Amino acid sequence: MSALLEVSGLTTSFLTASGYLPAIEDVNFAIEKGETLGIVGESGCGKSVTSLSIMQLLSSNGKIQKGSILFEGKQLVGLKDTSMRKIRGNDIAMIFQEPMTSLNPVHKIGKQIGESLRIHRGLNKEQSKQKAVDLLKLVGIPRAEDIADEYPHRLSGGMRQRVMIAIAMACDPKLLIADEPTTALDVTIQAQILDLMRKLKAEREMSIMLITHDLGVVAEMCDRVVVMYAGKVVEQGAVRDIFRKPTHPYTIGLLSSIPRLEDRQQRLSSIPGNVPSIEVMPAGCRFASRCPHATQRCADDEPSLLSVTDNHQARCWLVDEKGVAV
Amino acid sequence: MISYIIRRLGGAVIVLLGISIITFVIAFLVPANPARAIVGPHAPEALVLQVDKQLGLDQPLPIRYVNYMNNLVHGNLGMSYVLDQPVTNLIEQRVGATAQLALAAWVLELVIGIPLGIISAVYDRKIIDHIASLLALIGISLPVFFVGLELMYWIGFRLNWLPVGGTGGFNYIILPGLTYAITGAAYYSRLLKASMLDVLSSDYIRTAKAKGASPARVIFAHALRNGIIPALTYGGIDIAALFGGVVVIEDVFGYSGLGQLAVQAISNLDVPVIMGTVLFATAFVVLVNVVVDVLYGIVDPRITYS
Repeated sequence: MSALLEVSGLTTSFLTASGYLPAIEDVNFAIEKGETLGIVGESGCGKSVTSLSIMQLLSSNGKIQKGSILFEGKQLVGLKDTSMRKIRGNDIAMIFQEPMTSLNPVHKIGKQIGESLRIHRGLNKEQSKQKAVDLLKLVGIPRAEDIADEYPHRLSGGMRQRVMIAIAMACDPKLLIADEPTTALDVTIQAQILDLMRKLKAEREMSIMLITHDLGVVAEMCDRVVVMYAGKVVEQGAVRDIFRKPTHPYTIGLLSSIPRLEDRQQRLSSIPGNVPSIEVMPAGCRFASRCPHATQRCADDEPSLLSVTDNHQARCWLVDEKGVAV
Repeated sequence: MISYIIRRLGGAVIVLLGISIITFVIAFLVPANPARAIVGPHAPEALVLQVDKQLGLDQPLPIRYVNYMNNLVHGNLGMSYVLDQPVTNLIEQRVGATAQLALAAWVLELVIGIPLGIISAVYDRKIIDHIASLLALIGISLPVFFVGLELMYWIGFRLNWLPVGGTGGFNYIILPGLTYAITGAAYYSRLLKASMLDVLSSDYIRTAKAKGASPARVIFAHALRNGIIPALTYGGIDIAALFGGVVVIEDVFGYSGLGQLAVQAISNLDVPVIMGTVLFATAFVVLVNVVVDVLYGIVDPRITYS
């Protein structure tokens, strides 16, 4: 059975003062039906660009330069906007990081939830309103009838993110792209939103592409994980494998920067340095300048994704030389 | 909401009182005697004094003001010194013509300015936006009387499509209205472009696109209502400015409205007519501002009145 979404060789560039520069390069991954894939990395490593490329909602200075995005076997790259619009909000839905600003302040909640139903299902005002109330109940909002008649500014951040999820769920999407859905929320609300997403995924048999920088969220939610660094996939595999046997030094750095209760260390461990900017990408491994194990080879030559095991790859020369030793 | 409107109208009364005092004082402080203006420069001093007495101009200024306001409260704006008619009648005769002209000018401004602003925002930095910007710049830069004379010459005289001036039916409103609109529409289009650009890059527009909304739906159902708010503010100011603009335009086109009445009254030192037109215009402007403030709350549900 082929994957629900298959991204291969995806390169998306942005127009800068020095021409088109790639923000993500040669990105490959697949999402199976019913699977939750985590995409992890720090800010600026290309997670959001990847998701916006799939939705084809890049800002006007960005464009997909190479690669293919197959959704249910259908090529999305180069698809006409009118055809892409039939997929957006219908087969693929998206929720965003900022629930506070992601809802239109001048439209009522019910209208905003019902909109995709009016667009894709041809429902009229009353039908879509009724369905919106049902969706509000589905995402656990109390007094759904009243809330449907409220404007967004009367709702808290957590409530608004529930509304965003209701909007996304409206047309029963096959794939939900969640771009840092809990980053802007309190920890207790985060847990509630993640629970809700897990519940909906099980009920509706949809796939989720979960973008986050929080490995705790990945451990809780995902089946497989793709670690991105500076616009490239640096490691991917099953969540269990990656947590047990992280291979790329960047993944190891990310994992060791999670604070643990039992440790009595004074300082949190962190990865020194920053993600290189797209204007000054190093020739070799992009992580070399921050890597504790970097050699001359790393600086000169970029490794490709090397297999650690059958379902686990890492973009690091260490795999090649010593298997999984770090 | 109701109590808010009542409070605003209470404030409006205070504004009107202030304006009435200022206008009254200025009108009588000019170093010219209205009585002398009426009887002419060569009339004997005795006649001037007699007219002074007749008009009540021999009384001290504060008493005259109190008398004037007393009459005003009873709906009496006094008699014109020159035209020998009650000021209320004069305003009544002309207000319709000016209202028609001002409304036409305003509607034309919106009809030109709003689409231009939306197009400029949607095609930001594309050729069509540059053309719109250039048109806007030309519109802003041209003086009203110049545009008026050009339109009069080309459309009225050369092409003979519309009357060059005067007062009458709908045909007489188009050219003066267009004159004001050409010079004023640019402000709406610039304002709207800026706010629409802002709105179009906001998160909730991305949400709308992610729902699969068409570009037209994104612009008209989602962006415009948010983007129109600054233009609405300007609309209030603009309607006030219209009264000033209409004065010049009425003069250029020989259009007999309130503006022309006011201009003639000023040159004749016809104080009751000056007072009447100024107070009428003030009341109108204040009222429009209350209406605009109430409209905010309808357009943007986040704004509440308490």
